[in-house]
Amino acid sequence: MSEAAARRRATAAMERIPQRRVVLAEQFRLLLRRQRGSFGILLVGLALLAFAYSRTWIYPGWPAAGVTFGWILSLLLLLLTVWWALAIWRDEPPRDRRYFWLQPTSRGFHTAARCAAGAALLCAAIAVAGAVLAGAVLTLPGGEALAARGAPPGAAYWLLWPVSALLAFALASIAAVASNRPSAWLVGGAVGAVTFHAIAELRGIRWLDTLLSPLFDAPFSLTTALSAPNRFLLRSIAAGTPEPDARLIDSMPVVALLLWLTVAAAGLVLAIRFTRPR
Amino acid sequence: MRGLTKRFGSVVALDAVDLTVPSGARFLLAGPNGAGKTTLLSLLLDLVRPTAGIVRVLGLDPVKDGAVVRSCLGYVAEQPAATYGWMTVGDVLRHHAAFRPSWDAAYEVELCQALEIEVRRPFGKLSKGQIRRVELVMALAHAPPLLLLDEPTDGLDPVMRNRVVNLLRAHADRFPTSLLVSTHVIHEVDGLVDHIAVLRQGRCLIQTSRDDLDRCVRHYRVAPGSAPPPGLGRRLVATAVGDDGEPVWTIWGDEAAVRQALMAGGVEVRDASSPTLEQALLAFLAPDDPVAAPLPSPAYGAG
Repeated sequence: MSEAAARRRATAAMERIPQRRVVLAEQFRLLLRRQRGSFGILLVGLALLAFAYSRTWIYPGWPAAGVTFGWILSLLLLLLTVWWALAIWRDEPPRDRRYFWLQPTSRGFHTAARCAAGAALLCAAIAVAGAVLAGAVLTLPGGEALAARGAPPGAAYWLLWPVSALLAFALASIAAVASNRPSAWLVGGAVGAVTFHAIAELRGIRWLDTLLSPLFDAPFSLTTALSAPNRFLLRSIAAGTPEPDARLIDSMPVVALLLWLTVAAAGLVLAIRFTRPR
Repeated sequence: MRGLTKRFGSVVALDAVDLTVPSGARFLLAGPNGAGKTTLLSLLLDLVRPTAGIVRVLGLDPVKDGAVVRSCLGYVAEQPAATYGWMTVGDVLRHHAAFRPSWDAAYEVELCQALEIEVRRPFGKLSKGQIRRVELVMALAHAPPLLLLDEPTDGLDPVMRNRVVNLLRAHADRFPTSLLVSTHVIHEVDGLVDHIAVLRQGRCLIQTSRDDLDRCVRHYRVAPGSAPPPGLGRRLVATAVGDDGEPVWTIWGDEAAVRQALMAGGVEVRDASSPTLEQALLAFLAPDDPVAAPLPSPAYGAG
């Protein structure tokens, strides 16, 4: 076939390709139908966490009193978010993604559309949780006065919660997009890193400690990023004390979060780009 | 495709295959299990990448122009994908249609009726044959320019097999479609195909039109004790013993020229008969037949 004929045929074939908004909408529709149970668990789980968090408002000295619960909240939010990121690819690891990859659209865009739909639903669930939190605080005795307690950490504090959740989602999505056994990679990676970090600390192995510092110790570490809201709160509390803890002040949760979000987004793009049928 | 080679580790699935499916052809890709048929189709779909060689689908590169190529294909896989088994059949068809702007809903209904598909049934609860029927609707209802059908009648009952073959014939008559059917149940597609290629151990033994195959392949019953003359070379496709105990040689080439070559070699030809498509291809696939180099074009005669 001549090149001109091939081009003519390709032009005609372009009309057979679905528009990108159709692909995106189809992924939303698919997730809302396939993962409605998982999404319900995510929604209820986040709402319960928000409700539980609202109860800390009544402690005198909030927000400092809420810090301890904030760590638990960060951990549970991380786990729920990672679980959701894996759920949206359930039954479709790369080895079983043949049908997905046979659709007449860019495979990269198709994969990104699934991740974007999952991220958007996660944000929607967090928004609902935020509404639950606000509503729950207002229903407490002296609710309006208690709600005013939420203002001191600043708007950034409240924005950091969904952003840190998106970071966890993006990191887990890398494994879910690229691996046939994403849970094993994530659990193995986390357990391995924590174990080696503990060994480095206990035995004073400096090179290992240095190697793992981007994950655990540096002001811009991954753990700082994943627990950014609480670190931010601690930092703002510490800044108001006469002799602030230098480690808290040096912590840069917002920068860490943005930095790691960029790294995770780049990792996800690479995972999407290089995960293909084998 | 030119010089198409695919290796999986040390296993050579396809070995320098040259194959051209003419536009509008109804092309049979025959070969035993493990011949490389499914690998070849997977290469066209960019589900695997070639180790060497060139693939073009409708003049396009399936890697660079993947979305366009896939939009022009209807595909029935050898192993049905039950990924969306939680959906009803109707939902699966809706989802599939959403990705194909040229989807013809009226034709979909027509196909579902012809193939007795119940759209309200859960897709995951269907039998292999029922999934195959749904996959046929998914492949046909957007009237793609090229159909890739990997064992399309596998798992179907005899009545439905016949109906599917008739349906494919009617589809190819109705729409401008090239058809590439991979199967080892050759007799089922005997009346459907007009071009044939035979793959064996990853090599293309023959690629020809049905007319040339019908014209050039003959069973020659020869006198007992005859030895194939050297002049036949690779044109001697297979040797067997007939029901009457006499040797039957399957030879490729113009009949008059073959008879002449046999006579020149001192071989007495008792009679010559035209094999069915299945018989002809079985001769190429005879298990004790060593893998031969691709046959020369019949246009060169038997000499």
